[in-house]
Amino acid sequence: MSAHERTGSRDTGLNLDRERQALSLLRRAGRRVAPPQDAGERVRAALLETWCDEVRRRRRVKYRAALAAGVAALALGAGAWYWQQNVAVMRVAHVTRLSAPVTVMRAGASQRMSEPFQLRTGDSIHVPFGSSLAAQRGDGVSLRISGPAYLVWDAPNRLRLDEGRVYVDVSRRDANAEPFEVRTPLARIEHIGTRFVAEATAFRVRVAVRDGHVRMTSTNGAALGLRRGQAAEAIANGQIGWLSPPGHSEWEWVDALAPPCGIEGRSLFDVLQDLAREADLELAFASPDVERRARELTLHGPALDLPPRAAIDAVLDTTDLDADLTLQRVLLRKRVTTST
Amino acid sequence: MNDHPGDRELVRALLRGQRQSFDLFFTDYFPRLYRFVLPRVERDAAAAEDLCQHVLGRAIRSLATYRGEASLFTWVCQIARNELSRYWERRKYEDANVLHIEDDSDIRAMLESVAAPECDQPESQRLRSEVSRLIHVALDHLPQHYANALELKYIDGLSVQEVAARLAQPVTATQSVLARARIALRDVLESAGITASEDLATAIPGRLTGQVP
Repeated sequence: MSAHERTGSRDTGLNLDRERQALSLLRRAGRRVAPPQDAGERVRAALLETWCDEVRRRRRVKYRAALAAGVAALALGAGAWYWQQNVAVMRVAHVTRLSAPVTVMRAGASQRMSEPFQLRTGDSIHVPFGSSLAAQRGDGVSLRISGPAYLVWDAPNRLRLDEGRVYVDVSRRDANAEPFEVRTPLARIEHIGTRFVAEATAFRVRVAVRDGHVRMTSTNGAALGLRRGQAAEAIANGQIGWLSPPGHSEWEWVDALAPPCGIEGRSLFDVLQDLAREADLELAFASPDVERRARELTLHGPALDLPPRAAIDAVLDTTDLDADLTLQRVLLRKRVTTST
Repeated sequence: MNDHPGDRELVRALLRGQRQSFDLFFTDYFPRLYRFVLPRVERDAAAAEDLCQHVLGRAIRSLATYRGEASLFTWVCQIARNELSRYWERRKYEDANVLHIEDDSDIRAMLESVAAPECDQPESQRLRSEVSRLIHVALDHLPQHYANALELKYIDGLSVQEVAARLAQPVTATQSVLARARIALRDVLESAGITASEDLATAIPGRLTGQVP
């Protein structure tokens, strides 16, 4: 037998001894004192009542808490719904560019617009002669207005142009979004993923399409579909007729109101694509190497607050690439360095 | 930390309003609490009854605060200690016309019945009573199915089969309960410093006198 086994056996024996001693004490001590039966019955009856009261109280508290949580959730939901229906929808666009004073009538009061400014449903905007305004909606719709103009943003997706010129760019908008519509006294103009300008006077409304597809419907129901580079007008008797295509100068005021172009961390290729699209230019590369270089170059710096053509020149100045800029196209090529 | 899952489960069932849990709670805790309170109110049965009702009522109203860090009985005993302090505070300001414990006929009768013929000397009797009380306290602090099994087997002298029938469980399970109960009792008594002796008076070490778990 090993020492360990001997120790174990000794321990077991000791434990059994102690157990026997404990049981001996237990026998001598006898049964525990039981509370008197009548006392037990009285206490039990009283406690049962206390316990039932407590259980009922807890159930009431739980029920009230659940009710309060339900009411709170309902109130929260109703508040969110109200905010969605009334407050969020009321904010239709924010002003991104403003030149000279522009007045807005809101809830019967006239106020001077400033940057930044949130336009809301129901705002009447008066852009005087020589002033201009650019605004951006949350969904990407961009609007530019040249004075003199008077318009009312009468619904989230609808602008009433009483007089003046408005340029609408919905090309960055979600394809499934509701159509954006410009109403004039003589015609209704609906975009189908496009950029167009609408110009309204008391006698006619003229629409020119820069990109995409527009449907123009006059007051007598006559309708016309316009595509890129086309223009048409509706006159007071409801007739719609074609006009000669808009020239390059037609879009100069629009380009002047283009939103600043952010460049920080973006590739030269991306930035040029945006600027070319904004100026309605075709972006081309002299060689695949030049295109690769444009994709490799990463730009840094503040947003370019310039018309798109000027911005193209400015951004290329900081690179080893250059561009030939014509009315329709920007051709990127290697910069030619002249030695003195 | 939750060291008393069984107690937590009982408390949860009580809070849910399960009638069976109330019966279990009362059957299990009232007698133990009564034995805890009785010696602390000078064996005044009426006061013990009142205090037990008050303490268990408070415990029931505070069940939601029980976290299972101590056993439920220890938690109830703590409430009882607080109530006892208040009880003695009140008693201090009451009329001096107090009924002494030895004047209570029930208590006197009980004390007389406890006296053993061979231990008729006052000191031996006191020590015997103290050991018995400590054994009972130890039993009260064991899981109650252990304590009940021990009482049935070793005090009432029932066979294992009879104990199994009383506890409504199989014989093998009862044997296992009894084995665990013996070890638990031994451990509790040892940790309290109590050892058996032929002469019961020597069973209590001096440091235990007056000590109550």
